[in-house]
Amino acid sequence: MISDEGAVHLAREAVAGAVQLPDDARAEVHREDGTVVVVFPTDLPPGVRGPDYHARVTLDAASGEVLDVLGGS
Amino acid sequence: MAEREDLQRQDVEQERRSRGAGDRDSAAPRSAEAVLLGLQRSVGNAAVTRAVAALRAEEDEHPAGPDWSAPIEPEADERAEEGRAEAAAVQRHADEETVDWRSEPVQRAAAAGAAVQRQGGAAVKTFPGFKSIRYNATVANAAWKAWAETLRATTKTSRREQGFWIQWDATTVPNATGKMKTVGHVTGTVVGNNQGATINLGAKPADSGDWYTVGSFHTHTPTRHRAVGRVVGPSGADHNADTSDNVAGLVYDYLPVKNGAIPAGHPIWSKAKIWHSGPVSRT
Repeated sequence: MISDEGAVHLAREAVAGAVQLPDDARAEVHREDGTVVVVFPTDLPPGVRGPDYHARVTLDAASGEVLDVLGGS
Repeated sequence: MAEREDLQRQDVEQERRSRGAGDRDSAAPRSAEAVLLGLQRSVGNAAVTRAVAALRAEEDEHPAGPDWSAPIEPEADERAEEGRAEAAAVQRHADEETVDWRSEPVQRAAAAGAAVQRQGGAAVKTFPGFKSIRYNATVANAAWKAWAETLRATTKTSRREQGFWIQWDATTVPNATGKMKTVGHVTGTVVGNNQGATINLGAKPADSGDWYTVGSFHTHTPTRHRAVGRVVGPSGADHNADTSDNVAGLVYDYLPVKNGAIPAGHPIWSKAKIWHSGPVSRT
């Protein structure tokens, strides 16, 4: 079972080159149905329409294998 | 090179599938006027007669069809193959934007001219809702134009959104045949394909005379040249902004392929629709 810290590390590696993460990007970790979902949320100014996150990475909770990578809109 | 050829094959396949879908969709064309005339025959309502007249006037003022004067994307090598898919997308758009009055309260059409109703003794203005705004000819044409321009502006290295506000003339009916206009057109910041796209529509235009701001509109962008897919439809931030602005939000975006998302490399002229964000209507 991978740790939250390990999941975030793997998620950052998975999006490298595909999604530009700010240096200070926060990470939120959720666990559901044998997977770990790592979300890097955006901080949009009020009134701005845009994506809720920079990237959303789904990993296998046991092996750490990257199952899915989604970017923001 | 192999990846590019693979993307081209996907586009050709997508076009072939979408053409088939377009043929099925156009099997039973249904114009707003035809439906209204059917209502008129069945209920003999004078208000429906006025709505038909308004619709005809609207069509005279704003002839249907997209504006092809929009800028063309500079990638001529892709334009040839995607041009055919674009034509299919135009047909699908025309089918999608056909008014389906079965989903609108008939009472609204029957109450033509009665934009101000009385509830508990106080005058309460009835504003057009999401579907009425979406099916308004002026709004639908502007939305399609913005979507087409968004797609054409997408390059191998960049993309951006477009948007505008929607106003309604309160001297007309609060449904799709009411008079509406689009204002405050803006183009979002150009971003790289490794970034999320945002748009700031600016402050909601103040109501002026009989014109009330009732909706917002913006586009989302293709993943054609991105390395990641994305969820389609309005985001939480879109919903929050429209709720805060107290307007019905319209978002032009693709239909999902799997699990509410589209993949990386999704063909540009794939099937899309206008999604709903925020409140159903202004209050």
